[in-house]
Amino acid sequence: MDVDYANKLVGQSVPRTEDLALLTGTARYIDDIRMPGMIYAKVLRSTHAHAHFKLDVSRARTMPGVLGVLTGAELVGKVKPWGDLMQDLLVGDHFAFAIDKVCYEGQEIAAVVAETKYQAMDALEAIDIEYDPLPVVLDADKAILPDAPLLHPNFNYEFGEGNIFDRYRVRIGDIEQAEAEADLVVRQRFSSNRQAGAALDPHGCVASYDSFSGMLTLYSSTQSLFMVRDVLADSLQLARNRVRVVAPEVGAGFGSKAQVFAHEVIASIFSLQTGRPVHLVLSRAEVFRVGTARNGQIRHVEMFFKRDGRLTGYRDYVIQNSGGSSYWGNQVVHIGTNVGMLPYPVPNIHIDGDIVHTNTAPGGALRGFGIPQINWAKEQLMDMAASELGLDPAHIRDINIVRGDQCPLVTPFGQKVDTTSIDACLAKAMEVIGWHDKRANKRPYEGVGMSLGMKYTSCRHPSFDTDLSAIRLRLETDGTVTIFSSDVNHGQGHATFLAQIVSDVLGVGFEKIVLAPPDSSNAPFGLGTYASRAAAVLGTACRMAAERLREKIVAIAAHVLEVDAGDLEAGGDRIYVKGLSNTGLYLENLAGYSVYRTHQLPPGFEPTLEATATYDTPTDREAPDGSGNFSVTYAGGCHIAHVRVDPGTGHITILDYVMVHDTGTVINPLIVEGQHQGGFLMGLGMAFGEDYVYDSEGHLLTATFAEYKAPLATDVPELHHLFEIPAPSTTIPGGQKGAGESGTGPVCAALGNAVAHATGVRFTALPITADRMLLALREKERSGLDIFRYPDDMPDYDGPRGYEDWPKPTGGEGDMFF
Amino acid sequence: MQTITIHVNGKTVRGTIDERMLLIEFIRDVAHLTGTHAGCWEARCGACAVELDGKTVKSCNVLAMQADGGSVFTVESLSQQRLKPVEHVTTQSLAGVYTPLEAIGSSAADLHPLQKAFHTCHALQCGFCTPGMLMVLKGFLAENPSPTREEVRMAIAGNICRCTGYQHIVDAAMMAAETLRAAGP
Amino acid sequence: MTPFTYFQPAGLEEAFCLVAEHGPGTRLMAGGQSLLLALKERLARPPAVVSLSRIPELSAISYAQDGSLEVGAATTYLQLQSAVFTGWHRQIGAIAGNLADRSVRSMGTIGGGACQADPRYDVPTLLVASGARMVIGSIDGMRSIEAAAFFSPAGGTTLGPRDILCRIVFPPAGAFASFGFDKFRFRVFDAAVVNAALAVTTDGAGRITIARLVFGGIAACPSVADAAGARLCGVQRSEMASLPVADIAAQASEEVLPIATATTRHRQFQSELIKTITAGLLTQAGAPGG
Repeated sequence: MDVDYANKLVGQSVPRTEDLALLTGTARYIDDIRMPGMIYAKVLRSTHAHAHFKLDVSRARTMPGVLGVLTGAELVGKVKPWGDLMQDLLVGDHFAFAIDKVCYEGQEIAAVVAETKYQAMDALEAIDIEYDPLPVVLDADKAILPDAPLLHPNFNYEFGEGNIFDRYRVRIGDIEQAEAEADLVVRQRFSSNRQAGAALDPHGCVASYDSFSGMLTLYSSTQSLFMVRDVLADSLQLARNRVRVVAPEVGAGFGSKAQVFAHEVIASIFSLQTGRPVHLVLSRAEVFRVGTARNGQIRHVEMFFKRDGRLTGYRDYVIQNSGGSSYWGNQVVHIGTNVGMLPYPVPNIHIDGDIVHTNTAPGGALRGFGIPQINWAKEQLMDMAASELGLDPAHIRDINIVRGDQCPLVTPFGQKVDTTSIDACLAKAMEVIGWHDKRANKRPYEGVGMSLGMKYTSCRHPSFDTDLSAIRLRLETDGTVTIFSSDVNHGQGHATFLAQIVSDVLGVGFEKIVLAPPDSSNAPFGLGTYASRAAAVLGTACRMAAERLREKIVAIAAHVLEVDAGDLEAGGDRIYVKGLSNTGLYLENLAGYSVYRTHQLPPGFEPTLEATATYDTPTDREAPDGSGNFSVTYAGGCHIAHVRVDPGTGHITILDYVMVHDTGTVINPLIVEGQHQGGFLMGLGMAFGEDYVYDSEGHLLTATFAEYKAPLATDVPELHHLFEIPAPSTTIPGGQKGAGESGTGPVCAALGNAVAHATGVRFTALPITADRMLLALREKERSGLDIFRYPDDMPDYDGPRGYEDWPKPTGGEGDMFF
Repeated sequence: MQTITIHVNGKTVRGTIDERMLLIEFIRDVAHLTGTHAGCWEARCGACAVELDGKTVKSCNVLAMQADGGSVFTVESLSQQRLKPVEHVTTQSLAGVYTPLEAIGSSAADLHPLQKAFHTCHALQCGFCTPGMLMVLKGFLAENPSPTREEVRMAIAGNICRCTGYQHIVDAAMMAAETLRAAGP
Repeated sequence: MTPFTYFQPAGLEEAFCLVAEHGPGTRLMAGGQSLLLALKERLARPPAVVSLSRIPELSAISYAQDGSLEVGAATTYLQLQSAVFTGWHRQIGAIAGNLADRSVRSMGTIGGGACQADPRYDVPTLLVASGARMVIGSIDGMRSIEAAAFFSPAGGTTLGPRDILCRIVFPPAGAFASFGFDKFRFRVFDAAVVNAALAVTTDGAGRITIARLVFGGIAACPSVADAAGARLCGVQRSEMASLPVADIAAQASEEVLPIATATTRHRQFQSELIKTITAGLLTQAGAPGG
């Protein structure tokens, strides 16, 4: 009887192979690594946000158990600074320690390594430090002023000066004409908050230098093997083939672990000096202060409309707060703005951006990468325009969005949208929530609000001219398969979905496939896991490698069985003649031939069964006018929230929340659903409570889980209404699109719009918290205003209330970008 | 320094420890069980939750001394600790003649219903919060075998997860509750 | 943490001696849920820690002859939550079961909460509103004081360096015609932004004789809204619905947090919450079975 092996795993909710080790507590995260002779390092961190300092570590050196003390001064000239990823220019503004000036609270000043953690902490207290405080600047719009305290006087930036370390510019179409011909202009200043990844597994590493081999091994809770290896090796002036980065089980990252950190360099130096493994894991307070945070933005947005609701132009001046130092700061503005403009193919776009340093937590990559920030502004302005024009917010979107049947299309901004179902997502979401009914029958203090967002599936970053990942597959001599991946799984289920792909292509049993632990000494080169790139980019590399391997396996089988390769099929751990599924050769036999019986191989066939493939997405670099297609394909969705506000306490309850997404061809629906729910959680936190709150001196008041309002299970509504309307990508061979960040982008605006509908209070700043809601309601009542903006219409607001008070971009119209 | 004895997962563990040692440190560094995780050290995130003398506690906020003579159960107690997965590595027809050597511990079939439900419902992504979630839910379901979803959410409100959004965790708890009710007392 | 000697006395007398012997800076630990946080941050560096968790009488719950409820200071919130209470005592269990989270409640104690005296905590408000008595002992003997005198207006408690809080004595189950408690917190198990308790005592004819309205989170110790509470006196409990609830709530808010002093967003929020919560408590107190 012929068995049909066509029942493929891709598309099925296969339970994850990762789970067993995680559920039973046998998985090893960074703090679980124990090595013989391991010693413990602790970092002395600045308690001031901006200050000169003088250090005396002499007492610390003599404390019991202390094996080493490091400061910045002694490393100058020996350890190379590494850089913020600027366009084509790595500005060396990162170093293991501050040298004589600190720019943010928590910045590294010195470090101690000792036999035990307590000895290291005691020694830190024996370091004498004298601070000479400098004035602090915490707000981005203050940091651009000419008299603002200057953080980094010694750096020359290509496109910036002072605290402005980069500028952004987009000039598409003719904005003046759009303005002149507009029937309606809506303008509003919006600001968004800093947010932490707050992955539960704290950042940390164990560095182990083996002086015999000259090999430095760094175990690190990181999202990228090779970015860390290359930058670390460069910084320490070690050969890259003598630095090995190994990722243990990584307990999440969300972008906060996607760069080299000072503590990795510090631990490595201590290990180089002592020859012993050095453990350096950060405390939760340290992770909040230096673990990189979402970049906050102030956006001064103007949108131009025709009477019928057509969006004809977008003008914006964004000031981004990237903290005391940043690694991804400018890229957040470039990518977030470009991709965040979707799903609207706006013909006239004029954007300026000043990207600044302030004496606050360093800015980094975080789930959404600039899209939530622009979505917060743009999607609320869509509602505001709808209101002025007397249109339904759904209608004003429906007539402006890119539609599935128009694809493939190229927008004026340059995005090449291969496929989308965003129009269908909008319709479905409206149906599920009961949009028209809820709009028509509005109850007091209840409202509905929507937001549309599209997002990248990985990106060609303006600074990297690359977007690649790689997979190597080896068919072992017993018919099992090992996958070597260039990237680092940290909760996304790589071992499972990659195995689904390999199983389908090679016909090997799913349970026989193992993903090797991430190790730069045997992984193929690739960029790492971030930007929702695993399924599409790594997945494509995996498919390519599997197809190459399949070709080799089939060639051997064809030779041995004396049939045409075209007559053969793979399935059930076998290669068999089509139609005769219970015959043929087992993969393990074929693998055995390829190494142990090489006379059985076809003439000219290179022995062993291994195949490598690297996939680099067909994407563009940013053009001088800001346009470009940075992403290989675009996912997206429609979110609609139904909220109720308690007028006695300001507490907002989400009664219902609908998410309809286009994630293309979904490899594992259950995993993708988990990604959307987790993405939503990050958006919910950004919308309703997470924030970096500083006192006037730049001390972070929210550096503990007690104060930092990460959502708990009781804060999240039931998420039953999740739907997929797949528009399979035509650029990614398997059709998949990135899932990780679709759930985050639209959340703040959906909730903002719902709150505005419910109460008439339009929030222009984040987060929306009960206290702000309640005070806004009270003030709205007192003021008698129909529409009340928070905080702009509050009596104590000291920012620009109207367009006439908006600051002007600091960059001139000159030729610098061209 | 004092010498204490704690019964960890049914095994007597003795250690001469610094008075400052926290229960989580005793579990991880003296009993050598790393499944209990430290996410914050401030008794907030709940990744360190274990069972002490029949109650769920946050082991980062309990001194090992406080547990002297007591009985602790960690995530490793929910199923026998696996060191190596047991699988048949060959599909050849002769394979049926041979039984692979049993790895230390048992197979996936012996997982606690909560672990099975977490696996089925995809209630874990990075896995770091998972041991704490499992131990809190185990204690909760023992007290409240027929909870509502809201009650489950209240029960795990002392455990932070950043990956899942909690939805699948609540699904898994409800599924496990049903399994445990059906299995009887 | 910094190093300390750890003692686990088996009896109260032994504990009194240890505290006296090891002098100032000795810290007491029942469940350790507050102390350990301070130790880990090195905010407290005691040379000695005396554990109270192995002294049985300190975690006992019993009733005195007159029906007063005697709760050992080292009684855990979990014990209180699980106890079977009658009358207004049920509120003690309810409050104990609705603070911190499950795992912290297993170890945290009512005495620990009282001695930590964080104004945002629920325990100080409960104690002052119910007029509980605090039984304190030391090597110098035992004494008992009113809860209101236990909390210092400047913050913290009035305990001396050798004192150990041994027992809390609550009025009998029938002492209050109604005892309501409510709070607002941002997330479940965050410390309250404002919490409040309203304890209503009536005479044989159902007329309100005492109404103690107490707020936590406003000042450094629980704030009592005497004047607002006095508005209830003389009123029949069954006629509470006729009271100008919003007016009394506004008065209570102004009394404990004058609007002129509410210059920050946090304070303004608290001012509004006091009104909302008070109105709720008044309405609840007047409802049958409230």
